Amino acid sequence: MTPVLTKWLLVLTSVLFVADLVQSFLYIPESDRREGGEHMPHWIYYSCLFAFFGAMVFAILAPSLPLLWVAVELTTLVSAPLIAYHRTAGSLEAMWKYILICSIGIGLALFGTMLVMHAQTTGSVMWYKAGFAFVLAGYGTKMGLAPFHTWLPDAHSEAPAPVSALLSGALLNCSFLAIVRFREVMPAEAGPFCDGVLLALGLLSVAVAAVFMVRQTDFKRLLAYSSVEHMGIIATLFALFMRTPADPGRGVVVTAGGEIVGDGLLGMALLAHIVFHSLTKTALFLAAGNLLLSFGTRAIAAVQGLGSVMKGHAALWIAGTLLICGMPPSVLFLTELGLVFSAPVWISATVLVLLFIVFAAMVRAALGMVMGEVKSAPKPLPKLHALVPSILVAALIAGGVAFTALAVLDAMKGGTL
Amino acid sequence: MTSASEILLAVFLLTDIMLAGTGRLRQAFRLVAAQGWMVGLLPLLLWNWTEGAPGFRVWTVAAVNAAVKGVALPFLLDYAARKAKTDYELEPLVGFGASQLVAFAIAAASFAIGKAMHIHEAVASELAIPVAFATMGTGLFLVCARRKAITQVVGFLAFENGIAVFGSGILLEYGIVVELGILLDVFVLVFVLGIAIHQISRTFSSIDTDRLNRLGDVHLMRRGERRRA
Repeated sequence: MTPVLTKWLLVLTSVLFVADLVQSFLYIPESDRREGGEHMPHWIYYSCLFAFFGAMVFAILAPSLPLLWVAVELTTLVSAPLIAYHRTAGSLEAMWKYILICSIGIGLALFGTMLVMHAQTTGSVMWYKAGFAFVLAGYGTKMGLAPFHTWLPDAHSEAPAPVSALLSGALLNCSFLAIVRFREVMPAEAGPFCDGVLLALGLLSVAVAAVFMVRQTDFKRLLAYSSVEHMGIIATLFALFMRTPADPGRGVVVTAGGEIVGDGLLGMALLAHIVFHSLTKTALFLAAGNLLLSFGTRAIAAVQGLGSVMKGHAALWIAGTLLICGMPPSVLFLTELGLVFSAPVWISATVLVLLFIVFAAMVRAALGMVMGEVKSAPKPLPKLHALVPSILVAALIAGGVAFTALAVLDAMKGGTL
Repeated sequence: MTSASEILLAVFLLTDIMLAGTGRLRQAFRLVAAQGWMVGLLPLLLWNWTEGAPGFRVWTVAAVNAAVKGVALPFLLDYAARKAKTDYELEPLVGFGASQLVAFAIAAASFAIGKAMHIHEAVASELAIPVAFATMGTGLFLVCARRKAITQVVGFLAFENGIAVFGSGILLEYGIVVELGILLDVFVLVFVLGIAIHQISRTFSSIDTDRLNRLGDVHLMRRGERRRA
């Protein structure tokens, strides 16, 4: 999985970075004007943003496991100042939690890395298992898997919108890649243990996210919990991918060494889920930033009636919500369908129930925001602010239609439909 | 040289317990500085000198470790403390006497775990792994049990030192780039935390982290309910 994932993540991270950089040029000056208060100098913001991108590329391309650790820790350090761009009590608290929780998590990952490296010299399965457990706790913290996700909603809701988008769309994937790389050096005897833990954390993440989304009052936190949910689905998909034996009839995934691992269909679903979740979440976070600038609040209860006062953003918000919840033609529909069909019944049933709760929570919030009674009039934003999220949503719908058509054609050719 | 390394590790354990019992920031900084020096010295003491002198890598890593963890980081912490005008941890969440007892308990548990894991065949010194576990545990405990942002950083550094001792203890060799990379990360981390402490002290006029509790969903929801009522 690693070589394929590396290529895709490089392209994805670069695209997201460009999108967020462009939006930063619009968002940051406007946000200075509207929110007032103290903020960090622009040159520090942009330096940190570029350094953040650099650190993520370093993490994706890191040649060895310990260097991977150095790179992932570096992403925490250069992204932390970005969260406290506006120096408010809330943003400082979010930054402090982010840096302390993630650094301790990542410290555990370093300990896990040492255990795994030692296991590679002695060949002890117990050390491999212990190492993987620590690595999963460590990089799982950074990836936002429950119960280590506590920093994520705070950081994502307090950071400026382009930074939230980059954290959610790009950073979480880099940490996932770290977990994938460690999972792939595990010996076969440790496999069932590793997949079991991954599966448990994945399902727990979806469940925790669902619980906290139902009564969520803040739309940026809602999106943050949606990221926890999708990271849970990604972890679940990966565990299932590693568990399911390769079947040439469903396609196979071949590693760089020519070794066949995992199920082709689930591998494809995993990649597609990562890519489309990141793009959709970026569009949503950027749109959320515009709503925050227009209304001056993140409260769902105050941002109502977009359909009559901000028509463009109303369309963006409802389209983005449906796409992230996996309504066709969203690709996430196909990937979640793949998960449900390939998993054992109890996992499928659990995931379906949880996804339904998430869907209900998100759509309820979105419908209120789009069609509710106008509570306060927004200060209008220049039209240009909607450009980047609009392009992303249009591309996602087009991509979704194309991907679905291809998948249907493929299934018809294979006679499985 | 085994005996020398074992004396060093015993002293290391002692610094953990002292760290748990001190409320004076300057003393805590001096203790982590001492740990930093010992982290630097440990690979040299564990070196098998009968095979000849260690190479460039070992010397460099030892020197940089001592310089960063023993000199630069304590200096940064001291600077941050002076900027934030704090000397004492006055009201810790867990008292100093109780903390010291907890540190003893962690040390005892670490030795028990070390014995249960049967790791002595793979390591340089039998003391190294339990001491590493004890240091990591004490560090994590301090992060949870202290209120001042700066004491939490001290706890974090102790945790990091514990990991470093573990690495030396199992004779792990990463290569020089990785070891320097890890040190660079730790250095930048403390640097960023120092700036954060400065800003927190300006915004909240205190660096007690229990002021940092306005976010979090249970809290936010409760506040929403109160507003509705």
